[in-house]
Amino acid sequence: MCLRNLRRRRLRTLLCACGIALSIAFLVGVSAAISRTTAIIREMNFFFEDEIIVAAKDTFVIQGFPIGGTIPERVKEELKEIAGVKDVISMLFILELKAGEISRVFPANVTVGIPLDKIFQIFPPAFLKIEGNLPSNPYKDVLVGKSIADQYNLFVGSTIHFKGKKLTVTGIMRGPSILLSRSIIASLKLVQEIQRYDGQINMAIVKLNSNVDAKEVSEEIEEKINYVMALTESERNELTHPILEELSFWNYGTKLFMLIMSGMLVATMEIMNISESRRDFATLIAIGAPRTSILKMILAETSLIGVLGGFLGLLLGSVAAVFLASFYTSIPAIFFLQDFFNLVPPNLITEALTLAVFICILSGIIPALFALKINVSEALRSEY
Amino acid sequence: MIKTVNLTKIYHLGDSAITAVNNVNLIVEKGSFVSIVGPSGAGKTTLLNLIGLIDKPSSGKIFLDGIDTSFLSERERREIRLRKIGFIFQTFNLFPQLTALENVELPMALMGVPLHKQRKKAVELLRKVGLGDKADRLPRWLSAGEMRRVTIARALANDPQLILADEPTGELDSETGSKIIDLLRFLHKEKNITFIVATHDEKIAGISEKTYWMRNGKLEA
Repeated sequence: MCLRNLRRRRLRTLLCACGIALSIAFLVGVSAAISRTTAIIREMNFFFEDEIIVAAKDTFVIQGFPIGGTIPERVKEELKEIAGVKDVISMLFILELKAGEISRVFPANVTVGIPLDKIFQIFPPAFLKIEGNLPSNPYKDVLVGKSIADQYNLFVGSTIHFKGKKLTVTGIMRGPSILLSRSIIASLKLVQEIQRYDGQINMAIVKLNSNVDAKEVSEEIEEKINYVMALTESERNELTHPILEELSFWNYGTKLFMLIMSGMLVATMEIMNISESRRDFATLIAIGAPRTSILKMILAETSLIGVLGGFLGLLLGSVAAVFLASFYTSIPAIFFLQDFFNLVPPNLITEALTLAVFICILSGIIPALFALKINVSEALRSEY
Repeated sequence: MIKTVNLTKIYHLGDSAITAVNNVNLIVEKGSFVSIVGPSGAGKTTLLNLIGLIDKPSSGKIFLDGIDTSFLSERERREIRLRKIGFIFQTFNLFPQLTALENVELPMALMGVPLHKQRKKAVELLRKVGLGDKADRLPRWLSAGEMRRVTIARALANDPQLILADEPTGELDSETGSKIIDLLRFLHKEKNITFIVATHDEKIAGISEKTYWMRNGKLEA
């Protein structure tokens, strides 16, 4: 009967479902973008758990990675002299944000320069699954992330021209990391040469001896080397916390707003349906149907609209998420489709559908409760 | 047997009160065919709604088979409506989204009758009222007379002991009205159901075993 009711008012049902679909699409699109950004930010710190990151003083640092600012490579020797320091790994981490030659070749990518023998110390093998080999020639070998490799049709042994330099791809990184899938890893020397950071790095990873207090070591580093800042894991988390919190705030705020809008739409539609069905409800009660059957009927109607709107919205939202990601990263949409569940994770799909149905049921409750209070004899006499 | 004692229904509209049913004392024997004749606004529909337990009286009592209905819970009243009373509403009140067949099946579905039995009986009832070939039609594709026949079939679906018919020939031309009267008479004889019919059609009054007149809420024999 619910299905027939919805079919009978098919234009209204379709418009309502479309309204919910648009809300859910917006919700999915925004959530996918935010969850991807959040995942990348969180992942940044994952690689440097329990380690101290040293960067130029007052540099903007997102989790593990500094944006801008350089320090001389010789800082490594100074750091090694500090008590409690077990090892120091110099690194150049460059986010390619500028348009131009670089972004045409590797748009929205990350270039990482690192001593080749230290690669697995920073990126654990579980994250860095390499098809091919590690770079052996520090002047021309590079590792390329799977997303870049797929996009530019690169294979192990492919040659690429980058800033006038001829480079050889020795391996493709095929791990689960979003960050590494868009990265090029090469020897520190090579990246310094290509990116013109002669003798400069922008971060040093300080590995500590066991039973050493990271906070104390970081304070000592900052005291002894006055042009750097040393950040422990908790300090890095504190720096990133406001960004994540703001992202989360916008994510939840948008969701709430869209859900309220959807709820109002469903409630309005249901109030119209109920006012048109007063005589039908009265007839049902008169011939012996329990009043609760009306409640069930209305809630079934609204949940069906929720399911319909949810699935439509999911479809639209997924398309929107793919195109948004493609637009902002200049990566062709097809590559996001291949990696669809990374962009729109299954928990987001479940959440969107559940929310659509839940909000529709919730919005149907108040009109349904009004319908339950119907005066049967009066409604039987009414026109409709 | 149906018995009403000093049955009164007063509607309050703002400061004014309208007495739709005024101190009605009525006895309807089991299996009889009773007409209540009166002009529009006389209180016929209100009286049927009270007897059918759709509405509650302001004062007075209704006894159905000796049971004082004023002590019944909402659930018990609903059960009686479902199992013992068939309603033929003045304005058809068919569900527009359901076919004629489904409209007839509905009371059986509410009773929990298995689907195949519902279907069999609904087809049989529609055939009996002359609509065997129009079972799959939605109400909007039926004429007024055909819709009336569907409401009659629906009223019979749960084998009621009592049928309350409100203006069953209203909105029908005289020829169709006559056919409906013949159908009601046939069903009454065949099934021995008690009929209380509110009407201002004198032809119905003509076939009734007893006719009451209703004016301004008062019932006169």
